[in-house]
Amino acid sequence: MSSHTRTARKAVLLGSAGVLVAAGLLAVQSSEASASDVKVTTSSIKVADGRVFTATNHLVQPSKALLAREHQVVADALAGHNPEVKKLITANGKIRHEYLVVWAGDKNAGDNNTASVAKTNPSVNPVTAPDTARDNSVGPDFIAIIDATKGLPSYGKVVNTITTSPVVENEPHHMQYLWHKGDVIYAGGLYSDITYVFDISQLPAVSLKGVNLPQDTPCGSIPDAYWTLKDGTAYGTYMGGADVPGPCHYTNGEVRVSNGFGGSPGSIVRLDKEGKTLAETPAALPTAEDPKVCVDYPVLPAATCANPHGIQVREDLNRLVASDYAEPRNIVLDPVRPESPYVFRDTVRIYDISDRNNAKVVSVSHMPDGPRKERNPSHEEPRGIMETTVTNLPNHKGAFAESMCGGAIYYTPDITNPNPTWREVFDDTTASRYLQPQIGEGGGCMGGGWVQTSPDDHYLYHAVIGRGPGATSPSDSGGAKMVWAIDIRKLLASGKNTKCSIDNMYEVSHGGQEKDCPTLVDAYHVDDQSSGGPHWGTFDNFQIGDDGLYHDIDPFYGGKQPGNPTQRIAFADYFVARTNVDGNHKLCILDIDKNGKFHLDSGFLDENEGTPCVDFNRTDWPHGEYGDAKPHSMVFAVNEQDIA
Amino acid sequence: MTRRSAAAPGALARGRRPFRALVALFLLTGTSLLVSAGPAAAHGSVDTAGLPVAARAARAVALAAAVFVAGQGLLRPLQPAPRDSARRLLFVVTLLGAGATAVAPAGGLPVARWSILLPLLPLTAGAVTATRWPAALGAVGLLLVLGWDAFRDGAGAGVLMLGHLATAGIWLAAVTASATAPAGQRAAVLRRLGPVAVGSAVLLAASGVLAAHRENVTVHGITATPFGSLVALKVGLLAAAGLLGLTVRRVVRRGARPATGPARAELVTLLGAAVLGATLTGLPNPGPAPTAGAPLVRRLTIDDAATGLVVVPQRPGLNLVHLQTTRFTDLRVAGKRYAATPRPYADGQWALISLPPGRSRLQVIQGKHVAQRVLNAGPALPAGAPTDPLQLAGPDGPECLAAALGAVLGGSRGPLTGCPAQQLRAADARALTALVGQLAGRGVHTLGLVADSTPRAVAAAAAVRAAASGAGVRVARLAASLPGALPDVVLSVAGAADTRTALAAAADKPPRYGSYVAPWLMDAPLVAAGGGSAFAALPFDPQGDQAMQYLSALALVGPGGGSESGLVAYLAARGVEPAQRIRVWAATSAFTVMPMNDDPAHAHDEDGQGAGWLAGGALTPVSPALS
Repeated sequence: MSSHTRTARKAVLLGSAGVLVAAGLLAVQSSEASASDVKVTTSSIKVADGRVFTATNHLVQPSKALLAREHQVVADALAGHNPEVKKLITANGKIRHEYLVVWAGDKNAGDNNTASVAKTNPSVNPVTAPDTARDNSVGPDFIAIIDATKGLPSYGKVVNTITTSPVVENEPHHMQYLWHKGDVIYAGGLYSDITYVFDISQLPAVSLKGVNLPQDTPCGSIPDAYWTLKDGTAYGTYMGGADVPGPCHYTNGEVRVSNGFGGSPGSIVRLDKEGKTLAETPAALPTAEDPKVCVDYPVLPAATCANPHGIQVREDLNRLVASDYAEPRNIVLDPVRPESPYVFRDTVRIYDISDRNNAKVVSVSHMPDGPRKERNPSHEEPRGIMETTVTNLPNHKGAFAESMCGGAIYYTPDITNPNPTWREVFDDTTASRYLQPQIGEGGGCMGGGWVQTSPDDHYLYHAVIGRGPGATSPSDSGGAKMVWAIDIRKLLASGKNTKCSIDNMYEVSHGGQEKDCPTLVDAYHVDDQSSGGPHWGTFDNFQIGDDGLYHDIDPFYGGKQPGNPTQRIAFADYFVARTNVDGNHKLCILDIDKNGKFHLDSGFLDENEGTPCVDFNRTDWPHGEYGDAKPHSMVFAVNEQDIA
Repeated sequence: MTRRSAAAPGALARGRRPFRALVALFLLTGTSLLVSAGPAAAHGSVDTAGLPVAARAARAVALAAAVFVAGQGLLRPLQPAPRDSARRLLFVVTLLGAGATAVAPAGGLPVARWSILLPLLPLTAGAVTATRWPAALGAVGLLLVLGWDAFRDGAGAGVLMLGHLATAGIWLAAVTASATAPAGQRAAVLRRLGPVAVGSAVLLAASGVLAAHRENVTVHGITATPFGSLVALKVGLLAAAGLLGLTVRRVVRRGARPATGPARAELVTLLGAAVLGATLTGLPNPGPAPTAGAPLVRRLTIDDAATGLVVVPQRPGLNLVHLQTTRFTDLRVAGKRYAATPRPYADGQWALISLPPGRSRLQVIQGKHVAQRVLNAGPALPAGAPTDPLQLAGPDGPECLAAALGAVLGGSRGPLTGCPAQQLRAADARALTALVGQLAGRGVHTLGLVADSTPRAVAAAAAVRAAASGAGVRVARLAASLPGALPDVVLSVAGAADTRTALAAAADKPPRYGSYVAPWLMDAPLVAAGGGSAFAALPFDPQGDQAMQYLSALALVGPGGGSESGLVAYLAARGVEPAQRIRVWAATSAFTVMPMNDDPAHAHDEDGQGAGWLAGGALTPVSPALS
């Protein structure tokens, strides 16, 4: 080897070492910079038992590179190159952002399912060991604020996380379905039995306004969903029974006997904007319901199916509609015998809320069985009525309900009728077949969740978890994980003379044949290999106006009549990991074109992966390296200063 | 002039023919078998303790031969192609190794590894006879195949294993060169390769010490397990080889004799050490040293899955063993085999075993996979002493074991001197008193009390009666089956067995105000016994920092839920007082979602089984703090 070659090799080695050292220093500096780029502020509330609950903001400060890109976008917009973005810019150059507010839980070892628990030995795979250890440790639950302003470089970035303390493992579940100017956020912890109230008027910053503890709603447990009223208060469904077994006294003076936490009957709770209980009223009738179809474990003196889950309200009609899903606590009296299919409720209750603090049950309707004959009785059409949605326009009085286990959509044209008639008007099988022509078992156990009418009452949107192949039997090819839309205009136009009814097998897979039946507009297939699928969604109820401010398109909140079409919806792919129905933990946006067709928003990118949809499975968050998280529910929201 | 030109081309070509034939034969066999093996090729390593001696010997020969050939390849850039006896030795070892490799799957060598090893071994050997760098490259490939499994325990373990194998191979190659060199050239060979041999021997010793440390080979393991004994023998052989090497060096330096005999003895000794080392890779290691007479807690990795092992009290006589696994498991100790079995409403597998005084070897057998740990039960018991003084064979044995486990996780190394059922904790008495007051305030007039004869239950029953008397609640002692008219509420302060019966009866005939259990009964198995729901006033916070630390420590051993007795023992071992705030908690085993499966036998398979106090369920405080 010549000395020249040796010198060259030394130079290369020294150079490489220098590069490595420099890279290391840069990495250290970069990580320090990112750590200091989070601004931390905390709000707190001391509750009656002396504990201090906190919500801590971790506001991500935009990097120089991001600011430079934003300035460029602003400059381009002001130069007339991007009229849509130009609307977002104020006279002094500020950008009006729109956000997604997402209620998410920390994933930890408790969320591992039966199959994965034996695989948590970190020595097995050194590559994934750090992730496994991080994901299995317990971290705080949080609200994530994600920039949802199309056209900006910050689109899809997590700009703040608000961690809650001291209670962990809340199992963050639902908030209200939509957020409107002046509202607070009601966010429930399924397992902690706590409702948190957050002020989001100063987005992206959030503060804690109240905490409703289990003992504040003694006659109900397992909070599920909320619906806000025009005055900012909210109704919440507490699906499970009283905190402890025995007689429970409601705020209206009535008494029901409960079999305890997570059992039956549940309650309807009205909360004020500080989270205080204004009223807790019974979901159960004073008299017993049919004990054959309303099975309660342990048995109650007065049988009831009252386990309210989905909830929506028509204040103008003084009606609240809540669907009963299931007695949530899974009592296993005989491990060999399957539990009764009747644990999954088939009832929808309509309440009179003329007295807002005394919601009274007006009707209890059992959804009708459909034409499918399932081997598993829990898969029959009316099993597990998880969600409900009301129509929005004043001339419409109808409501829809959907069954999670049954995979069916029901409709009644008039919720003011004390004896409403509910009909099956659509089967998930139809949408499934659209995506999967060789579908085996149809809608049974498809896992239908979020169901929502569009603000103009043109469409009904629905998220379906789907079934993995082999879920019901080795030959089961599974059912599509999807979000679908049906056109409901003809159905609503038929008024009280609804004819549509799914009553034969052809209609199960091809849609109803009556003229007023809904027709499938589109179904978006969600590619997901996890045990779950898309469970929850929301539509964007804000649109930027020519005045540069955001306008709420909800007809009850200033939206014009008959209402603007929805331009996009967001959905999350997660259910409840501890029930072994998990999800891929992604939050996606679907754009909706003028024909109602879905298009995955390929600009809503994960800031780490660069792929469509924001992935909640990530190493670090603004609040630290807590690993994977579980996004359950979300709403679109805007800083109140930016709303007309 | 290069070294290669020293040999006549024709002679070299003739010398390589046998290797070429070997390569062709084994390449063909390996490839065809790899293809036919299909997905099975992905299988990992297998413990060989349960396999026939011949199969284990084949595996050891295959691995040792691979180390030998790898060493030749690594050293090849520093020396000419082997000639005469060196070439013959290389051929014989390669033939033996490849032949043993061909039958090595019977010895537990993974199919994928064996299929690569089979052609790579003669290929590398052939390269050694011909070229330098391809030989070295083949050697690196062999080392990676041999040491790959170690990377499963982390990069450090992998590098350590590769280093150990490489230095062993290089030492062997250097000694082979010396032993096979013509008498007149030995001195030159030693001058050239002596420093290499000494350096690799030192590094081999260092890496061996580190590896032994990683494998927990200490005095107890050497005396009690074949693994330890083989390690001791290997060390002896290596030391002997080192001494022989020094002898050869000294004799040759004097120039008196060629020292062929000692050189060959050194080679044979070193080869023996290599075979022993290869044998060790198929044996379970002894694990860390036990504390004599104190409960033993270990986390085993068997077939890539964690199995928690708890042996209580680890004293001579009857011992309770808990295995945190759902796999069928057998235990073998002191010549006896025991089948571990599930217990009703208790996690994992359980066995009662008899331990001899002093050290013994416990084998944990799951099918063909075997792990072992050394136990030390301490000195023999005095004559006439009870063999189960803590009544671990009884229904409260699992609770006592949970307490012992908590104490060990908290850092205790002392013997187990008592069980929780022998005394009522003051905090538990306060919780029971507070619960009775709370129930009275809700309108409860009659309370059915389920108790047993343990000192704790007797004291608890007295505390409940005293509180009830003051609150105007009538207390009736109930049999666990809850016969007759039901009181307003049922409260169990008994042990696990009676509580299980009472909760099951109460689920069928629910009292109006429900069923409650004492704090020490709030664990996953007993909540499951009540159908999946139970209530208790707890004098600790199962969601608080203390409980989280305890649960995290518990998760290090294996899957399983928490218990008050375990938490209290854990905190006591750490010198921490449990938080004292009393609340009523609702326990829920699981939540109903979607009945996916059509098969009734699997109707409940969807229940979550994760970590936490109640795996897959939830504990929720449903009352303010009680005074």
